[in-house]
Amino acid sequence: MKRAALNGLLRALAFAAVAVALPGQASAQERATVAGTVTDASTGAPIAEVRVNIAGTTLQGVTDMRGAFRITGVLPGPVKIQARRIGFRAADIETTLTPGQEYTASFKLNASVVVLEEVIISGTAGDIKRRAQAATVAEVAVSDLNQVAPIQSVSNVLQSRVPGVSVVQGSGTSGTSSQIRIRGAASISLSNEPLLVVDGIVVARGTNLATQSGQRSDRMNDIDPGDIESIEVVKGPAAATLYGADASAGVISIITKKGKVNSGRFTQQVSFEYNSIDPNFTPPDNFAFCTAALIAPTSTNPLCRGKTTADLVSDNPNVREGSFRTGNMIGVGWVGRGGGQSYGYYASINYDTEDGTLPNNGFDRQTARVNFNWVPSDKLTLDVGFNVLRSIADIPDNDNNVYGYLGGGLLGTPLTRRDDGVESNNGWFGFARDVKAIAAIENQITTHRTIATATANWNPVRWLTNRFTVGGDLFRDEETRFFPKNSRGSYQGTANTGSITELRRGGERLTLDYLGNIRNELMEGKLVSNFSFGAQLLDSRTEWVQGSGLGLTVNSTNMVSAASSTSGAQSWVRQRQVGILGQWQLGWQDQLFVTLGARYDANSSFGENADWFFLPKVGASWVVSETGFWQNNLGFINTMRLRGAWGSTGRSPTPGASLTTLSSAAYIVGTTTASGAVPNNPGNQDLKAERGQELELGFDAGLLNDRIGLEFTYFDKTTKDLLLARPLPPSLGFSSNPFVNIGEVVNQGIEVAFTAVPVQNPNFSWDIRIGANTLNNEVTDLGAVSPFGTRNRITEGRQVGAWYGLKIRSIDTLTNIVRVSDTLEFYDHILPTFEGNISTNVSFLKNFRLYASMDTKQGHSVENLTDFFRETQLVRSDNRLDPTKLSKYERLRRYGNPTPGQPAFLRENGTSATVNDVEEAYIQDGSFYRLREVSLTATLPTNWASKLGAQGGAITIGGQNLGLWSDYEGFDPEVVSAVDAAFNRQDFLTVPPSRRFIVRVNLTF
Amino acid sequence: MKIMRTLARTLVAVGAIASAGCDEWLTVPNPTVIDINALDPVTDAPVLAGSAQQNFAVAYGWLIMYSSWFVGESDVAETFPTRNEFGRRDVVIQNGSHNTDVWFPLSQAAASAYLVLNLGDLPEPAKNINLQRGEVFLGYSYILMAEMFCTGTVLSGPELTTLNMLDSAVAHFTKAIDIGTANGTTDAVALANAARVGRARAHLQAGRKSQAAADAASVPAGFNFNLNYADDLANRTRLGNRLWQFIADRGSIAVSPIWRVTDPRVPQRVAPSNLLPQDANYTVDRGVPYVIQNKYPTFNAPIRLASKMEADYIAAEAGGDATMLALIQARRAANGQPPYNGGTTGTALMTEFMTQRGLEFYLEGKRLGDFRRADGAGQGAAVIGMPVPGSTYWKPGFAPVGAQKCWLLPTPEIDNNPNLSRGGN
Repeated sequence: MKRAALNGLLRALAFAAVAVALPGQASAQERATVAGTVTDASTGAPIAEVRVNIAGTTLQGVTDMRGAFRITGVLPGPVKIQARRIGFRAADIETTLTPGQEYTASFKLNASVVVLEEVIISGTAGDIKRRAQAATVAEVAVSDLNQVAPIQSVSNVLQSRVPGVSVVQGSGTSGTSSQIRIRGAASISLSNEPLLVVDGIVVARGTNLATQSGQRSDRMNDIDPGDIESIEVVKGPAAATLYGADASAGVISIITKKGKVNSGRFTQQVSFEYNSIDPNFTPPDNFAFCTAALIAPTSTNPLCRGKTTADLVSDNPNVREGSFRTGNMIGVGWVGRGGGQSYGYYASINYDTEDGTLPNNGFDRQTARVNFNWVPSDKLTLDVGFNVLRSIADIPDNDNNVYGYLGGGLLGTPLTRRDDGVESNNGWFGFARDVKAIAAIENQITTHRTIATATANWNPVRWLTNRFTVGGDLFRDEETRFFPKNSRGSYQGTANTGSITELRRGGERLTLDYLGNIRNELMEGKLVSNFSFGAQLLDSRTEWVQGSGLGLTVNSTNMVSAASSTSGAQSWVRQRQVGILGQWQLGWQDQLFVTLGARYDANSSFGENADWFFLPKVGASWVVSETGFWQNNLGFINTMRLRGAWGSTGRSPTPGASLTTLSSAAYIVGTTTASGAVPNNPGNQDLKAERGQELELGFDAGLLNDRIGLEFTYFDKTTKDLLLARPLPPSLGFSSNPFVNIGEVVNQGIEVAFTAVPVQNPNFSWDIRIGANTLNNEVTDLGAVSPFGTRNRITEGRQVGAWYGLKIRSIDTLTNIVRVSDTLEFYDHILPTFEGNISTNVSFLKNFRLYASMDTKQGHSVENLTDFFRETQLVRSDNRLDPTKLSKYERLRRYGNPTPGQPAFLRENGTSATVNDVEEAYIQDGSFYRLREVSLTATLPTNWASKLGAQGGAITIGGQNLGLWSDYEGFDPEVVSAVDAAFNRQDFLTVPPSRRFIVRVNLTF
Repeated sequence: MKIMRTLARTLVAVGAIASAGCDEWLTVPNPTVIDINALDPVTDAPVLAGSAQQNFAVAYGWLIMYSSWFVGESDVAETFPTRNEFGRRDVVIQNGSHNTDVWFPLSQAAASAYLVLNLGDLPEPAKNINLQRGEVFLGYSYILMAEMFCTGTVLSGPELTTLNMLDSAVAHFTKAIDIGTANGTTDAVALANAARVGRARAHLQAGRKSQAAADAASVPAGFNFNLNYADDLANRTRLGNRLWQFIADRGSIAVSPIWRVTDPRVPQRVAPSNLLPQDANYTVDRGVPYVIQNKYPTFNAPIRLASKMEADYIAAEAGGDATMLALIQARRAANGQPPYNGGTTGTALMTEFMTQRGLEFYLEGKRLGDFRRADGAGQGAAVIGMPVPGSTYWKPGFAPVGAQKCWLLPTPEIDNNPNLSRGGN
């Protein structure tokens, strides 16, 4: 019965989808055409990518590089023609068209840093203008940014451009992932990564390369930034309610480029890009004191032979054998874009191939996208997008990994050097595990991915709009991990016989979404009501099958089936979600807007006893600068919008989390092996989603004719019913901890975006953008759960995963006694409490643009585990071995009391503590300033371009990661050795971010 | 407004239909785990009992390895600081390996045995071999907990003293013996004999020598009970011999210099070139070659859990100097050693007895219990090879050797067990 009801619903949606394809069509002879140009009011330059539309219809056009547009099929009669573009104040032309008329509309747009007419797509029920959106939805105009900044990835786009969005590049290894947090970390046990949406459908996010240890590949790298028109960042629950019970960490919504309906033109753009990738660091030397045996004349150690036992010798295997190299990236792209009467298309093909800075590191990506948009009538538009991708990431072992270049090079000892040709460690950590052996390890992930979307907008009558979206993200990964068979003994144990692991992962994310909107004009048009409603079904599935083989005959036959011992494993996970939503917005004179909304969600991961999840929201936006009072008294502030919103959204538990489960596990009784079971998780039938609630207050202001813009937002996000994997006492015997809804985390802060265009004239213009945000992240309630975690501790009153350890109370340089606290105490924050960025564009001599950006993160610490390990565990650092390098005080602080027979550290209660308990010296200030990007773009003069057969072109030269200022003692404070971790700012043998120098040429035909 | 009302009603209706249908749509399978409701307590009891035995076998391997480092049977030939804490007899309660590799596997072994015992409604409980299997391995879990941990707890219960744990072991072994006697099958008899050895061991550790001797005497000659392992690439961490795994895959265990003796009971060899210590500096720091044990030379090498040999040692120790001396001479003779001619009483005799016992049961997880038993009797020095408190650890850079005699409960247990009052932080 239930299945029949659902089928009925699905049939109704399908019927509606078919119905929209059969709208009434008026005869072409009755229609008029609107064409014209759009230019910059101050410079007179044509403006490309301006969206020009006929209000109340689906008809629209986009200007080309000459600023021209054309819209056909317009119904005669009074019309409002609207021109919209980010960075310019909107302009409207109202006129009356006659049948068959070709009307010429010329727009001159004024640059404006405050844009309230911009249409927001994400997080809204129906497209609405920014002025009516109560909660912040930040937008990055990627197509514009791409013109001036060297962009390689989506995370690159978001890096330091949106206040409240924190991007941490995990490492300098090519093809690896970044950590993205929006307004802090709200979840303790679940991912804090935002939801990723492409053209209205939810797509897979996350990291891969399960078979390898170290950095991961990132599905976000699958998306070519060249295909992106804009990215909207829905920051928190106040705006994300419409994304349902999985959006509390925010939403990154990618809108791809579309065709140019009615343009009647076809343009092509070809781009070439070359990057030189510099490792940007030199690994430190390893040190050791020679032993008596090694100093003998017959010694095989070339460093110690002939020395004394007091001699400190050094070695640097990575430098000696040239582990690092200058990498490069070559990118070639083609874009075709255009349209005819009632249709538009965008097509692209891109090929990038990158050799990283390590021998077996590379990232190749081939993408193709076709977007087709069709306007069969002024009541209907159909948009179809199809993106295919193949990427290959070769990611070497690194980080906390004995097969890594840094693990091997920085933990080796000079005492194992040999020059007699006999196989040995020879200064590396592992036996015979030098560059050649490490580089021979293959970790490769090949991804095939298809993202298909289809959206129909149907406006059967002026007051009713309908948007149907259906789409899927289908992916398949082929992962390989291969240790070649070798006679040197380079790898541990049986891996030397040849080890191969093949993993095949398949998955899909399917979205079916409907949104309707009824617009009513009340009180003679002064009061406008928009009632929106909809439903969404999400179905996600991920499965993998893995085969492993050990013992190969020859390395060329590195297949699992060729191995002498084989094994297999499998996983299959499915999650489904359904949501029903409604929203009512009242707008008064297009100035004051009040919005009420709600969503009702259920998820297959909820427990049997959990109810559907209710997600309300309320908000208001008031363009107060358009009131008479303001204009008469405060007119110098020409734009002022006040806004406030409160909303709720959630985070679903992982599939199966509500069940009491056992894990399959084999057993042996006698000599028989059989399939058995071990306790896995006690489950929780009351499990429901985390509930994020957010209050957001702020204003958007424009001064000096909107040449200066200021956005200010205060947010207060509280995550309740935290999904906490409540730590169980191990004595209960369960392998994993059950999720419980308990506790509370608060994220509060302010976000400020300042934008100014101090100078704008045809020969010289200058704009500057400054963004900043603060963050107060705090666990405010843990319910009945005791504080847990050791180095990263979860405890009330502190950040999620704040740094903890035994704290140094006193250091006595006379007695060598270092007293520490009895119990774990707070060291520092793990999340930055302040982030800021500044970027600027300078256009000069008409054809040149200089772009630069700089950013900072402050108020947090990073665990320098690399130095900790090299100084206190495997002693390889001259900090430890050379007593003149550090002061006595600092040596006591780091290593404790060196007196034999006395404990390294002494608790106040008199008991001893070890360096592992007292890591205070290695939890180091992670604050930094970084010169992130500098680029210079020269637009080719038309006559130069024409010699190449092109209409136009541009050359960009630039650099990324050009300067770093920080007190952090490691290589770089922006590394994360375990990007997957819910909270981790650990630097452990991680390759720091590289530096790039970039040359890019774009030609338009 | 009429339109909106109509629409609102339609939406409510659609929502109601959808929510009804969605319950089924939202029900998805989870084949990666076993829903506990899918198990039948009766028909699946052998599965759970066999799993409980394997959980103990897993824990047994871990505990032998970590305790061997702690008592100096072997060297920590790897770099993990948490494992080196065992080699230094200075295991802090925050030590992650202590929780993950030692306490949790032992706890899971006990908990899964209790799962079997609490199934209820099993047929013929007085001679049900599944219940017996649960009793035996719960008994051994209690013994290892009592011998290695200063205090213990099971199933998030109250803190147990050493004597509490030994008494619990005795109680479960007694049930196992009763069931095995009633059952009478070969398997049940073997389990019952293992329980007899276990009960003797528990009594001896508790200082009840006469009861220990009585139980030891009831073990039939030639009895041997091994836990078997398998060379299964897909299940090496569960089915493989841990002592070999940590040599073959990780290079973690070296025979410590004091145990590098020529005795068939401690087979060993200089590691070949494909089996090297993870700590590249082992030979330089220790000053001796990297020698690995050869008692368990493969992934499928069995580990002895109980035997008449152990019963003999228990009986000899319970019997006093004369029986100890007799067994010493017998075992020396059997293993190519000249007769013992040292002191025949006191610490000298006990040292030789414990040394013979150490050779006999090398890497079988008994040495820490031996030390604690001897130390409790004021003869801790008789257990030679223990890292000496305050001495310099053989790896440079580490703090000196500590003085721990047993392991504390780890932080995750202390923090989360409501019956332990100490609290975390």
